Amino acid sequence: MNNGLSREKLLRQIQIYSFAVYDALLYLDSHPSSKEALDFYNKYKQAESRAIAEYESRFGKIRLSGQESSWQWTDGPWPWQNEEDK
Amino acid sequence: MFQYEKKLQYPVNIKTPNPKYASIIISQIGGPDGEVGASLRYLTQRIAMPYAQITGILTDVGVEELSHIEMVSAIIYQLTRGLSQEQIRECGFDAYFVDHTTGVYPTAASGFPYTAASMQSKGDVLADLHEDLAAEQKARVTYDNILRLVDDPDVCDPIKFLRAREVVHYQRFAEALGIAQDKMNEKNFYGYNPAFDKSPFAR
Repeated sequence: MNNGLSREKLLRQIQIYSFAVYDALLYLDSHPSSKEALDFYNKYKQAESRAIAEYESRFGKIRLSGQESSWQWTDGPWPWQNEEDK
Repeated sequence: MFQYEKKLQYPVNIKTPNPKYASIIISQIGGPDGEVGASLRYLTQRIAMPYAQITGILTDVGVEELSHIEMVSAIIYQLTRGLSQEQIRECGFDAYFVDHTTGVYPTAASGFPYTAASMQSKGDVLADLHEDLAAEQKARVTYDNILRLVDDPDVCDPIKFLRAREVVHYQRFAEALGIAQDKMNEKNFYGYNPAFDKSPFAR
């Protein structure tokens, strides 16, 4: 679905899904019986998971899964570093 | 970004409340060598750390310290459940109680509220890592002192776990210092701060 996006664009896509997920999570905390919010949460959580899987297969781990073929967790860059750090 | 897991790192199951113990153990939340300071120290220091592998160590230890805040909080909560007014008065818990009831507040046992003045983020690789090594030892001593004053095995068990983690973190930071020194030895140059003075071998 996100095939071919650059690292930066795919990461931005994940951030958009993640923000929708987290904002819905906060809403559900105070509106736990909202079916509409629950469906929204599930939809974007699944979209986020798919985008993260795509990102990780191409650019390295965002979170650890227990299926590491080698330990690249501490490899840079770190999230607060940008092009200027290279 | 951070995400929450709804579990403790290690179980805390205290059957007998004891406000005296709570008034001592609260120091490992907000005291000079407590877990709030530990997590803030590592999670701030990691930003300027120029070596990615050490940034990773600071990140992962700093996140574990957040879990330790939660564990010590669970200990405080279980030690202060269902207290009578007599217990609060007699156990020396009254000074804490008047300000915070049984809420968890980041303060030293001596009553001094948490202050970042008890930690440092120097923006210098060697200074920060030495600070971290010292911090782990100071926290280890605090847990040792708690174990001298507490004789309930339900309390001692998670405290011993936390003490052991200080020792492990000390080991990891010692290795981090070794990694940093190897990097700096490449140019045999210590009059230099790789966190600030940018260099091609910094990363």
